Amino acid sequence: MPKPTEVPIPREKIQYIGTFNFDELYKKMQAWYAEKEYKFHEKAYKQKPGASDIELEWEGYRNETSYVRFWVNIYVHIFDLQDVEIIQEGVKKKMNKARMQIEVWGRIQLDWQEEFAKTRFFRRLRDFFHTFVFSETKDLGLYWDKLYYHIYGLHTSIKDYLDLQTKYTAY
Amino acid sequence: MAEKKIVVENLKIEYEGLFSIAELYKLIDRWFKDQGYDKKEIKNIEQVGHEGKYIELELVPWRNVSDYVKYEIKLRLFARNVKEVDVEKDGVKVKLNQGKVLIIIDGYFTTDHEGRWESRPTMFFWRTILDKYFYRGPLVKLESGLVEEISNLHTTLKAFLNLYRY
Repeated sequence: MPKPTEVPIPREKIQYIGTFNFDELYKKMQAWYAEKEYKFHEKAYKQKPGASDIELEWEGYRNETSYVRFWVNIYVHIFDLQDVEIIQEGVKKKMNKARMQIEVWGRIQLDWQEEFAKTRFFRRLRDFFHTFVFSETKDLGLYWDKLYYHIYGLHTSIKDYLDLQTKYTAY
Repeated sequence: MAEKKIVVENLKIEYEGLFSIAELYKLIDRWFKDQGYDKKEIKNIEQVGHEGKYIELELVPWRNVSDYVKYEIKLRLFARNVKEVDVEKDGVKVKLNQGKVLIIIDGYFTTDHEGRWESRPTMFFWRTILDKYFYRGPLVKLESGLVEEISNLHTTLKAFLNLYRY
């Protein structure tokens, strides 16, 4: 059995009902990709005319080495988006009120340049490398941990923006 | 496929009254980090309603005790009618929450979490024999280690919530 060249990072979900500023949240998430030096791509932005639901799908990658690439994905679904005005510390502010679901996940792509995918010999060599040299616990484990806690950083920054009660992280 | 055994099931803590939800979350997160667990937050729901906030959390942090044994603790937290209140403590105003909390803890003891012993039926056969007759003592000890850790977490959470009673 050939070893997989993609290693997934599980999904983390946030569900929120309340007020927030959609534009600010959008910018905050986009800024995270730029700050962590990920190449950003908006895969989908769905909003039917007149409807108050928005669906977003983002993907970003970063070349960690010439062999390892990190991918970070975000999926946002906003339901019943409404404009509201609130008074915060005596100042009127335009905000949004909605139900929202955010999912964050990722994957590690090995041999992203597909140097070892060209011939059968090279594919076998890649399998040998993944099985006996590139240790799952030591080599791949280090990259996995790094991306895993990268994704948690993004997860925490979203919680922080929404001012959730559970925004703290000890990690 | 790894073998997963439930060693603690539905250990509950129920509380109603004053507390700080942010501090409670901090305590849980710190406890898991201090015990060497990796973070895994499956679900995080926060809804702002007329009767206060509804917060639901599902955490499943894990720790690889060895190449063969893994501890997993599933913690579910449900907080209802969470409101912010100002309380005067020793002449100082403190912001706290009032509401209902339910915490449910489950403990999973996983063996062969890397699936190394199940690639072939003969490996499964040898693994079962080793687990039952040769490695039984250490496995029982490790299992009780998880139960002890969960009991420690349970006591820590109860002590934290009891602090707000007085």
